[in-house]
Amino acid sequence: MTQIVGIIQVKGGVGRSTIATNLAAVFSLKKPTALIDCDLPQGTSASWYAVRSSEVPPANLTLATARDYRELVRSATELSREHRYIVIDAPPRIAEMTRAIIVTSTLCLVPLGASAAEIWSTADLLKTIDAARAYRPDIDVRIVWNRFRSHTREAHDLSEAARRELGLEELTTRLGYRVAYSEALARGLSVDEWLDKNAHMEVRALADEVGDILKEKAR
Amino acid sequence: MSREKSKPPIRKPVFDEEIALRFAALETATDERHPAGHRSPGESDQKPGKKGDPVRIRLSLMLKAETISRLEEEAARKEKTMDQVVDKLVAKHLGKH
Repeated sequence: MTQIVGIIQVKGGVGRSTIATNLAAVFSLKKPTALIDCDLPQGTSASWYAVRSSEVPPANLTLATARDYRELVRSATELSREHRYIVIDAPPRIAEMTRAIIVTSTLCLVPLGASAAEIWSTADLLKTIDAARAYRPDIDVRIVWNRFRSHTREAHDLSEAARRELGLEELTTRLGYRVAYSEALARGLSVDEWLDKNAHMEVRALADEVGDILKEKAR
Repeated sequence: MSREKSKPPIRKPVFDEEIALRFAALETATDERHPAGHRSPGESDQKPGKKGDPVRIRLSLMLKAETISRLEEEAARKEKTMDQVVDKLVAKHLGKH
């Protein structure tokens, strides 16, 4: 059965495409995976895939793009016939597309940096998530900390505040503030295929944690 | 004559297409009735049209995604709505010319 992971966040520049491309690349090592880029015309995930295709044969990994929510639903339905996982890179807006992603996803991940602006924007997203639960009660939305500076007090204070204020579950895996993520993205690679060993471990841990959640849901 | 054994034709849907389309489309309907419901980061709950407020007219703009991101960040930083930031920038710019 296909399982869908939506990467959603209202604010731009929080690492949606970084997480989407890395998860898709690691998932595709084991199972056929599709990546749907809904953040057009920016299309970071689509550009990543285009670069990747010229460097690494994209075995097991398919790219699709969607310009509106109808196209997304149609595309996800078609891709679910041939793929075990679908990873959706959402646009940075609460609009029809994000709402469709919330309702179609088996699991939604909300990338969040330990900054006040990102926490405010997530508070807005919560209202949409609550509204979506009336349509699909099993919606599962979890925070994934990104660019987390674990050695700073500010990061810990803000993450503590977010936990308290937002009331969303969060993943245990936190992605650190590492240049490897942007370096790998620019080369069409996942950090798992790049040079930073700590980044390898983070992304593998993220994929394992997400994989375990999905396995649990498939039972 | 025996039939060739095949996989069962009934396939559990990954998600309910009908519900996804219905919930996504709900946004459009809600926004048309309550434009203030579609909020960007930094936007407040303040209702428009308070006594003494200047008259405001809705205007749709096509901006670069990058510009919108920067506007959102600036609005969040200043704890203003995006409308307020744009209004101030335009007023400032036109005032100089």
